[in-house]
Amino acid sequence: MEINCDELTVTEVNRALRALKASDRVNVIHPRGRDNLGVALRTPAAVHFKGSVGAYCGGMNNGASITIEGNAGNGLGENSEAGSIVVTGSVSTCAGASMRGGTITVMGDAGNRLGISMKGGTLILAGDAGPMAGFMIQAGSLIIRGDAGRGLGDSMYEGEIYVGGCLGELGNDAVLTEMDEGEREALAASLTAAGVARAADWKKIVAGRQLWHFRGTHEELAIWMKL
Amino acid sequence: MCGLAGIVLKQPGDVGQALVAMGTALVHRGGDSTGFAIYDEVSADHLTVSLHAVGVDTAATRVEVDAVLAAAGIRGELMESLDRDAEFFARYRVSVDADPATLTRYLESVPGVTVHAVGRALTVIKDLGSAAQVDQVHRVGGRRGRHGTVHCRLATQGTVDVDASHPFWARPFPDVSVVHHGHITNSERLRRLLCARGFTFRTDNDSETLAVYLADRLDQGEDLEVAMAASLRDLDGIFTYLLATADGVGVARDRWGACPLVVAETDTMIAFGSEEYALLTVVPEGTRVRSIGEEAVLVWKSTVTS
Repeated sequence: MEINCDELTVTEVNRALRALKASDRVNVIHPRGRDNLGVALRTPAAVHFKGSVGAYCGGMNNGASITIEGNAGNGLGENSEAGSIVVTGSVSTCAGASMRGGTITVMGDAGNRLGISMKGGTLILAGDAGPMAGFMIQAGSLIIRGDAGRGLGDSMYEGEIYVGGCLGELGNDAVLTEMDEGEREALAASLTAAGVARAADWKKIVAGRQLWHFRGTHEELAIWMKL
Repeated sequence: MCGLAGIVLKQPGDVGQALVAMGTALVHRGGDSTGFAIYDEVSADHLTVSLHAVGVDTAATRVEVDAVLAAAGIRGELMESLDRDAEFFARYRVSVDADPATLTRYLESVPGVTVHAVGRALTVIKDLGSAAQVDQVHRVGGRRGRHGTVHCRLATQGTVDVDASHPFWARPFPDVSVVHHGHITNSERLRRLLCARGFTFRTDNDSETLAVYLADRLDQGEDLEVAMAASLRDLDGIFTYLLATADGVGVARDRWGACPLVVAETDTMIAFGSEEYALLTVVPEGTRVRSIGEEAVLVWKSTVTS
């Protein structure tokens, strides 16, 4: 099945994508960097964009398996709740912003504010992240295989950030913490499943819990939030 | 947000057409006004003056412009003019030995007149509306050149009017123009320092301050890269800007990279802009497009000289 963006408006493309059934697989050709493609897809169909997309591709994803053969603009997968998004190239700013569930994997690099305000889910970056990755991350896992820029994890809450490359300057209240062997194995398994190479040495960053009025320990909060 | 884009051709060609295409693709980033800076061959014998007059009796104002040029001892020739109700845009050709600062002072002594640019290679065309609308009125698409920039403005500082649109000519330095996305939060302080040294401005826009700041550094002997690197240190705020001269185009991006810029190169051109969507109007789909990193300065020299 094929959808040709050159023949349709963005609204028409999305309407066609939302009509897919769970078993459908579709190639979307000639996206040419247009914004708002593939937003609010609920059906677990497979959608493959052959070319770069613009801003907010896969936003509010709630079950689709989206792949992008190219780059993506701002806000990739913003507010996703389920499903998966894989980008073969690089992404611009705010990829995974406020995502609540599902998985986003970027095989290239990311601009600033990767995973800003994440509320759940897993965001994996194979390359390097720009400044302010994980800014105010509330929950979920942000995994950066490459280097992380300045301001990493600034003002973070209960999310967890893992960096395999070099750390830039940590953000406000972001601190390094130990990882146990079980955590390392789970991390390795996530990367293997995503097709991302392992790193020799992982760093884990969490909140220092000095900035905010945190409610109890990590464990108590996890129970309270039903994480 | 605003949108900006630029192009450096490896042979002289349809710069205007490329800039209109990229500007049209960026219209969603700013539809208040659109402006173009087009760099043609460097003239050995004349300066091009891009001029705008508003709220005027067009015929009388043109007579007055001729009169002040004569009074300044500057030989000038009207090359093209576009008239609207109580407004006109004009392009003059004046002798190359005219001092741009004196020339501008004389021209802007005529009520309602603003000089948009002076240069041996530079033409600035800017007006209210989208790139397509400005092209339709000013026939930008038919203009050839070596390199150029386009800006689609969403006004966040300064009024929505023609003279406050980008590109800003870095008065009084010939052939220097700037387009800017972002907000420079210490522009007032920079402007005070520049005013104290005798520089003048036509708008309240932070981008005009940026243009003069950069041109001042160039005039003091710094090359493009050094001047733009200094701006990363001296400017507060968020910014991505394109600085164009008769020799080429430079891009600078602040340390946080909040304002995007991507670049692509083919056998015939180097194209750069706020979004890949704009670049894909001038480079083939599948061309490698990469982001310019944070706290970055890149310069592309025009490979074509006069």
